Amino acid sequence: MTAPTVVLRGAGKSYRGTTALADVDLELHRGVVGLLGPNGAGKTTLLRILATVLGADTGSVRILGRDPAEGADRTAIRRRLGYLPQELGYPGGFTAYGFVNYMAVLKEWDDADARRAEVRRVLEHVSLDGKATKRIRALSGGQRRRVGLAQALLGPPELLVLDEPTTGLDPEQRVSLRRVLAEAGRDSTVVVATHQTEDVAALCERVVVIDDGRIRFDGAVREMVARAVGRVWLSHSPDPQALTSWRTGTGRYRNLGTAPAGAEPAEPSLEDAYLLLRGAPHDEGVAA
Amino acid sequence: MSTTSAWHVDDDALRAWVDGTAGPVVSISVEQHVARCARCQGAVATLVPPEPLAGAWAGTLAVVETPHPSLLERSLGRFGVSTADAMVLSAATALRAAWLVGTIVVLGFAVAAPLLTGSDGEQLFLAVAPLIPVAGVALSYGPGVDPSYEAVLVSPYAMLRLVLLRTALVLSTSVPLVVVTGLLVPMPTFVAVAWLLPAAGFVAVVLTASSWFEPEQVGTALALGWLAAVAWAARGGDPLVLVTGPAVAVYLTVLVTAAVAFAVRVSGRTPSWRLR
Repeated sequence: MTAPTVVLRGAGKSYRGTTALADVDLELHRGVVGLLGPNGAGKTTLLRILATVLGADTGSVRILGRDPAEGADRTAIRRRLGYLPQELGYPGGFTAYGFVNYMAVLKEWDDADARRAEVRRVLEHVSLDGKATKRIRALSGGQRRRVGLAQALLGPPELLVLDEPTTGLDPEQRVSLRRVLAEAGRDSTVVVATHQTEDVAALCERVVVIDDGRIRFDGAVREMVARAVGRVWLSHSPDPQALTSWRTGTGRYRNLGTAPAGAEPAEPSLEDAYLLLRGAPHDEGVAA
Repeated sequence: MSTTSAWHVDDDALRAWVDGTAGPVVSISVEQHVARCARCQGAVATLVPPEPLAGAWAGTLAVVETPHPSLLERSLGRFGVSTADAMVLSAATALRAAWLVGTIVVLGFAVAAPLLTGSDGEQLFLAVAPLIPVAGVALSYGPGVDPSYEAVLVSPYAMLRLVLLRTALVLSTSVPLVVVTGLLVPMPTFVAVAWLLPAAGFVAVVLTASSWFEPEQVGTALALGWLAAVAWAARGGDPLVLVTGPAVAVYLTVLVTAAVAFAVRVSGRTPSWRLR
């Protein structure tokens, strides 16, 4: 078993009295990990700690075998890291190629020919090679997001940290992105924070659910889905006993919670499992 | 366009023509025939190797896609500045555009107003002079003004280097401009340089405090404080009290304290996460 890429022990972070993360234990290896959680749960804070934007206030953090709190180690980590922030903008006037080229220069791609090849490689990966000379401000929201993804893929990095990479992407682009990330996950550690449970289901073997700054679940996707078996059922009208229910495309209602006797069961999805986990009282949160 | 002529160019002549070694008479003859003969056009296609064409295409693409270095980048390159440093400085100009325009307007006003009204210009000049470099520095980096800040922060390129380079660029352009403006304003000549000490102190405060806060927040607070001080000194009858006597000692203390604090915040085992 190779050494873990990331190890967090008891990591915590607070801002102005609010606890963003508390007592987080996490170990990451090669592969793709999905990070699920509502807004304000601490996903972005956790990703920022992994990406060396912030330091943890408590506990220990080791990334790629180094301590990011030490100046020289931080730079060494950053040489092997790719990061797509939740909100990334572009200084005016850059073309798609120009911005990725700028980031490649900052990432120490000093040889012009090698840099050119690398910039083309990542732009092709995100299907922007045809739009390389367009000004970023003339691109659509999804295309702009892909420029950000392209710069994160430069390297390629050993640790790829992506905060909501699918924002603004249409379904075809999301499928294309899943392919890119699956490929990256073969040789690197990829951490993807997202609201989209179907992206996690399609892409990740492992999922970490975070809520209120704490990890509520950490394990295989199929294990999380298995916990929802027997707790999802269909009906003709919303079941008052359900934790939550909603109308599906077929006109019937999908209910989550404790199923009454004789209820028609439905096969649970990751989204069902996630909603059930969030609906459960906090002391039920368990790491697998 | 094709021809049903029975004669076609033989392989040797065709190959020589493709290679450019056929004499002028043969070349003209082959060219005129190939232009009309589909069969010989096909034969040419098998003789021309694809690599040079692919290379030409890649070369064209390289010229089209690679962004042309800005005037600033080219000038800096001539002085031996590295590509990374030049690009970091060039990217800042997009952030500073509003500051440059504002500077010209404000300085123009500082010169024109006293000349037109016939009054002394030191109050207005002192109010704006230190704030121009402060605003320039505060608007050249940080999450509030640079939309790519987080991505740049986690690149191996040192944020500290970026901050210091951009500060140097702002100061090297704004300080001479403000000093020259000061020489044009009707006021005692020494005021044209006396503003430098408070400006130095304020810039040091912006840099140091940006290890805790966003630089434009710090710049705004300093600007408001300075304008209030100028208004207070003017109400007391003598705006020059801000750049003479005990005020000088205050600025020196601020400058030294901020410089030491800055050194502490960026060096050592655990430097500030915002600057390193």
